[in-house]
Amino acid sequence: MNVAIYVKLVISGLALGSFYAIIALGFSMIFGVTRVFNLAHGELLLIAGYSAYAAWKTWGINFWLTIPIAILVLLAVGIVLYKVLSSIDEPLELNTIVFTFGLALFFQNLMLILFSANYRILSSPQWTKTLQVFGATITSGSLTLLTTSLLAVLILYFIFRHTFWGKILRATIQDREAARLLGINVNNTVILAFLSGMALVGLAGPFFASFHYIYPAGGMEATLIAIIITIVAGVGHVRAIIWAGWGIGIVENLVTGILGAAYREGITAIILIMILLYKPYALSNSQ
Amino acid sequence: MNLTKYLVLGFLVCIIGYLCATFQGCVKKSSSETIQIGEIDPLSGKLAKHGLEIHEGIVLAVEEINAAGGIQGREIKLIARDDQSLPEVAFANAQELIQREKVVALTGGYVDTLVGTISEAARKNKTPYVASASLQEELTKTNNPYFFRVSKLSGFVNPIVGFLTHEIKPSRIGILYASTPGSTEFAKKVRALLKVNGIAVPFLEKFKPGISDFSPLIFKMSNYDLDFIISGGFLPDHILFIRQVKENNYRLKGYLGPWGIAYQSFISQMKEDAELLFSTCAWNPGITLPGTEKKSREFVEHFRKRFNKIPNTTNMHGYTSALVILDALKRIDLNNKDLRENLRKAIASTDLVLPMEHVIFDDNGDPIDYNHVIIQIQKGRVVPVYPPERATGKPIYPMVDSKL
Repeated sequence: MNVAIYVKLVISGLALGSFYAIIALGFSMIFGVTRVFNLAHGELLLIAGYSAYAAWKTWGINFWLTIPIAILVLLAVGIVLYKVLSSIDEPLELNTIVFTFGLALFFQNLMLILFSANYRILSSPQWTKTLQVFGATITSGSLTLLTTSLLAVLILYFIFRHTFWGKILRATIQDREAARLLGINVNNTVILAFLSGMALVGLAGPFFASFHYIYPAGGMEATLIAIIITIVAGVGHVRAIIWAGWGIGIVENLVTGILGAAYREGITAIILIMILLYKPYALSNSQ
Repeated sequence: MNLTKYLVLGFLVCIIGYLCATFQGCVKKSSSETIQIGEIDPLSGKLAKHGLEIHEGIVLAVEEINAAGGIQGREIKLIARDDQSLPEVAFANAQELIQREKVVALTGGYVDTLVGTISEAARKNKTPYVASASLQEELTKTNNPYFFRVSKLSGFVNPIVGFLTHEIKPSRIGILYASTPGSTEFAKKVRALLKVNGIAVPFLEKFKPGISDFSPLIFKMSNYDLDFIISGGFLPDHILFIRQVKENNYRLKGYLGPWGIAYQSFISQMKEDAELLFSTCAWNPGITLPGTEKKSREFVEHFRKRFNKIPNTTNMHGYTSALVILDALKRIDLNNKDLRENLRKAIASTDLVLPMEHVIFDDNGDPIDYNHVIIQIQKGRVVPVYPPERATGKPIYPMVDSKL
């Protein structure tokens, strides 16, 4: 294979990794602050995707205009969901696994009734425009994914590092009781973080519907991607999420391009296991 | 009486009403006036789209027979179960339908991982099972006298190889296939037969169904100068692959996917990107076995009235498998003690001309006369292009720079 092919593989790996990172951001945020291990993350992503698809199909609006609609829908769902989740007792992580598993099944069947089992795509013709980078073609779709995920990560990073709310969030993630002793209103912080996480899922939904396809049972893979990236990156480390996403995307593409698609999952899994053995507290942790 | 007491009273009335209705239902169920058929399909989960389509076909067949007075004056009752696209659930469903619901036969089933487990439950419980959509050749080689199916792998493979050898005549073909038993077997068979016919297959790649990025495979393909690509993927895989081919400016000369392209839902999603793609189908509203045009039109009309949409080939697979059981039930004495065994023998001797195929089973339960037609999407329409005796249009090849 010539160099241009490798460049293509790396660039499309970056785009794929950005796609993964967008999917994982909301999960990481919600899990970090609320300790809710959300197995219905993929289904929430689908709800956002279906909202965007329905708006696009009904009103014929531009892709970008579907994003605020999807975010609003997810915020509404988030308010109801938070009320329900807040009534769950300790041990929270374990109980929310059981609850959100049931919730995922409920959402799947609800979407099956509302949208049928057909595969849907939010078509956006602008994604097919191309430009040349080091002799390799990059599509506007890939570029959009890269830019959006970078922007989302940068904004979150700025909030986490350079705002008072970000400091409160980090303190709550690190030690909830200590944060409470310092006078932080942990409950309000958790609500805000949960809704911010839902808004991030709302942002990811239209991308999922446009760059992939949506169908009622299509959420499980997205949940797995989000869990893997959060484990590798570490909870609450937004910068590490994009590194983990890009890493997985590039490895998957290089393995497929050089060895074949049959080896993709196997080799990626081996690398992830090795990372966890070498850095058991995730990439972002110095231990 | 205060409000709470009214609520409690109302609740009790509802419970009593529900129990009465259930009891009545039980009496009806156990009545000798009803013959029960079981159906197991993926009605939820990742295969729900096609499972629901098969279910609709089966429902229509049963409703038609009941509207015509049932069989020997008895009503046919369909008991459907959702296997959630999971083999272990499919097996449990089959056991429950046979042992608890006492169904006389089973039908439905989509993909071999699900069909295989149901066929084993059928063998264990000596109950005939007519699968609606199954391909893997292994399944009919296990000496299971209770397993029948209305589809088979060679029904796809032979027309595809014939079409490529006699019509397209490419020198180099690439085959992509999904990591499922049916698709893997399909790819290997096609490759072997193409080699025999002097067509090289330098590119053979497996992928996991549902992957989100085909770009690396597309980049790799571009090194092989391929004249034609066959993909053993499913509907969503075609959607992504074709879109990413266009995004990456790969000049596709010809593309054939046997599963998922000859569907109105694919054509309407993909619009102009679906143009000139090849596929296969066993039946379609405009493609029917010669001599069955009237039956085919009636099926389309009944289906449209019942479900308010045009049927597709998967609906027809469900309809055909149910009709096989219903036809066999007509030919036996329903009062006979050993109903399931008699039904099995009647199914084995089926000779039924239907729009999708002339149903006759070989000794292994495979259909003898199941053959697909090669179609091409031309101006948003499904046009049969091979074999010549069933073609209504000419194949357009290569796709690149072709003008309709």
